[in-house]
Amino acid sequence: MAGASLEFTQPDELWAIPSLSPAMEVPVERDMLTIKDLYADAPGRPQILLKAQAILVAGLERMAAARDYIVGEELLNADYEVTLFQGDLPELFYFSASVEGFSTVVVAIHDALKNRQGKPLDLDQINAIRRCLTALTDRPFMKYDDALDLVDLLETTGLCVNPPESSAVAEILLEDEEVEERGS
Amino acid sequence: MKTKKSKNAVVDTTVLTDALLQPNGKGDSARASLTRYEATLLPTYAIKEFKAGPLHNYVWLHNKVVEAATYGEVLSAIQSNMAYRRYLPSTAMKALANFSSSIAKQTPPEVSQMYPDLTVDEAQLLQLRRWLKQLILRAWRRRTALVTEEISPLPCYTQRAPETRGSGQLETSPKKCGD
Repeated sequence: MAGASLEFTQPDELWAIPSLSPAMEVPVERDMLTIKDLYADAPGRPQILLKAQAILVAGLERMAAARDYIVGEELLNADYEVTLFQGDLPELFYFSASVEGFSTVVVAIHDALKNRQGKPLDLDQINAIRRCLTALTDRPFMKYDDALDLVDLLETTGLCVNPPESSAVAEILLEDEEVEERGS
Repeated sequence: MKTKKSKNAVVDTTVLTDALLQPNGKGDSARASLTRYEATLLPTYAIKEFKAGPLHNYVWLHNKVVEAATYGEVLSAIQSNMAYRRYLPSTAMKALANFSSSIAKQTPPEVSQMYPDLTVDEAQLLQLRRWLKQLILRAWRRRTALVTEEISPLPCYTQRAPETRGSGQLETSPKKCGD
């Protein structure tokens, strides 16, 4: 797979943009910048960015392969490609952690794949994930609203973007009124 | 054979909440029920109550996650702040305590070792925070998209999306008329 042999150096090189912090939104004027724009001519550009790019490119290749396998009705091979991509997602999350929109989409894809519970993706779902990966590649510093649009897109294909624990959270947070009524 | 749709339905806060915040069974039922009517009417007061109640609860948890240093702190905050509830569901608390689907727990050790600045605990917190924020903001964005019409506007109430503060927390004001 492309980029599999790349190494990264230090985690603090993460995206290496001075004003970025976990609590801050990326400024609007940066949302259209790509990784290539930012570091095209930078000497010694952070290897970590190359690693991110490599995982995204590999993911796109795997999802394209999965799409082709589905079209050819080779469902097992399609699922094999998706499962390999799923295995790469944790690392993508770890080094995108401080980029809010990016990691939001990665978490949504992770939960969507986790919620499959072994079921294969259909063509629409694969295409939606491909669109997400393309957006993450082209616009890693996308506006937060654009990230939410991508999460919406995943959901419209029937993917569940909530972690399995979301039912527990809802049970804890949404039952107040019932309890108060019982108690009154 | 096509089933004929019923005419109109007024959507109350409970249905709106289930449709926007409940993930599976209840949420699916609520969303499906909205499609069974020709017109679904959402009074502004239901939006106001939704924001001040259920959505605010999610924002509270989000902000706790932002401030917490450990995942255990979040669980403690839930226990402490929900102690007034006699029926705090223990199975739900166990599911949260386990958080077995977390990315951190599925990260191979050699990968997590490459990111010493982000511990397993911090990764869990961050994942929870990312999910809660997208759920909250998407719920707000979709509040009127689920229905065919918003009715009974409240001139005294401003519908403002939850805002992200500099600290990373979310702010849900206004909660009532005139705020």
